[in-house]
Amino acid sequence: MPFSRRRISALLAVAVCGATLTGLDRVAPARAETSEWAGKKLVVGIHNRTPWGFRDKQNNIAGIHPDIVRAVFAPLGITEFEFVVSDFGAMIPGLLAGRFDIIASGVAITPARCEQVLFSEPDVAVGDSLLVLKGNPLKLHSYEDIAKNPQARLAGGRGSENTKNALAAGIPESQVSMFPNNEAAVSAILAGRADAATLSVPSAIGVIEEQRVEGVERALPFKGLIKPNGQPARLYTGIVFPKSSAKLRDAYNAEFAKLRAAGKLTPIMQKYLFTTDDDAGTITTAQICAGNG
Amino acid sequence: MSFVDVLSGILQGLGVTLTVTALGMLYAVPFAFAAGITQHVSRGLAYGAITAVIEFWRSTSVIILLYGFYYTLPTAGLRLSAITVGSMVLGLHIGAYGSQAVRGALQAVDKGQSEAGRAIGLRDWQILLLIELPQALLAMVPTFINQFIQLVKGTALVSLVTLSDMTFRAKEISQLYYDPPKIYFALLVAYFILCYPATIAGRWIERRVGAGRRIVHDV
Repeated sequence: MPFSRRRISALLAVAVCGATLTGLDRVAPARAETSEWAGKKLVVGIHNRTPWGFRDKQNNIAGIHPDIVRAVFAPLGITEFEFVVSDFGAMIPGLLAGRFDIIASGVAITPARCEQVLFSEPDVAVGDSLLVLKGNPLKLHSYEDIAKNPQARLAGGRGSENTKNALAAGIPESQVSMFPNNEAAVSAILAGRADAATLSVPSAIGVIEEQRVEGVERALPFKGLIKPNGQPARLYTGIVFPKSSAKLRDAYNAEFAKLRAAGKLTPIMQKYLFTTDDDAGTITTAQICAGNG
Repeated sequence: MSFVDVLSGILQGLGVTLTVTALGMLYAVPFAFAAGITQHVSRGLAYGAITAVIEFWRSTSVIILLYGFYYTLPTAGLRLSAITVGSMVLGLHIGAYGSQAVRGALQAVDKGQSEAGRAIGLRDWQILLLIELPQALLAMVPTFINQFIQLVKGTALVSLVTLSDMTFRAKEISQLYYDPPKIYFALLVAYFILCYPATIAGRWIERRVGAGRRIVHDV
């Protein structure tokens, strides 16, 4: 039987179209929810930002949230964790796609995120901080100062709540540049591409105390966004669970409350330069999700 | 942290970079040949179908496809591993470009060659396999080397799907030491170490091909 050109082409077309669909590992089974988690391994998403969740200089996973998660889940018999590092923007999509079981990386509880995922009760609450060039040449001490000075350029983190606070405080978008991470925002200040960077307080402290970056300092005192009720805006962080893991989240909350009551949260906070003022206190996730944070 | 420390930290991601490159080639080369040859020999519907597939991979953004395949497909019940997504998307993207090198090289073969084949009674597939492809292969090698280098550098995008390649390691180190100029320079050196041998190999092959061509013409 002669192989005509048409025959070859038809065969090859089928082969090529098929090839683009190969490499399927398996079809994901629906994740079964069991009442007992003992001995289970949790896949934990972190986005490598100090002090929240990161790989340290010895290549170990460190950060306030990985440490809290380890301490809280131990009584539930969960001691094995696989930490997956990815970009911040990939955290919630990864959780929704079942790539991680939880996120433990300083994700702030916000009403918009509450629609997509479940949060644990808040653990810490942090305000915004401003990093500026040493000596603070533009004398920036509040978001207002930046808004009032058209020359001042603010560096923010892409998707970060700190940046949203800055915009809410009246800084025009034309004065704000978005950077993918804190290193880029700090580099922008050192390179003269920005005059200030908005970071959460513990991140800013980390840049000065831990990373010992020279040439920048925290603008002190600093007044961030003031909410309509007169209170300074703070970001409450928690552990993130997919909507299908309500039971695990509830178990986490119960153990977390015990941990806090036993005074075991404070040493973890202090290890990462948080102060006792940063404890989220009695506010609940339900309140924050309802927009009353 | 010294420059050597930074470089060795970055090279911890070498394994992932090489794995994605190697697996990517396994997608790219067969896809390039199959698609390029199909485009060369087909007419009508088959031609339209294969052109659509090629154009899809050639005209879409790798970063969006990586994101879609990794984060969106699982919600549709299709769950690929990070390494599969990374190598498949990058490989087929590069393969689509490669297919045009294959098609172009086949079309550049003098028509007299296939007519001569037909004159001595060869079948179409024999003409393709024994006459057109061997000559076209020589012409497409330099382009393939270029695309291999593109693929190596393209692997920098796989950190989006949680793979710790060299670029990802550089970002991690940068997060801890806040010294981007040194760290990204080290990353540049790391990619150069990886890609330059391919460039040299490409030149060598080009010289060999050139020599082969002259002999063909002398005959």
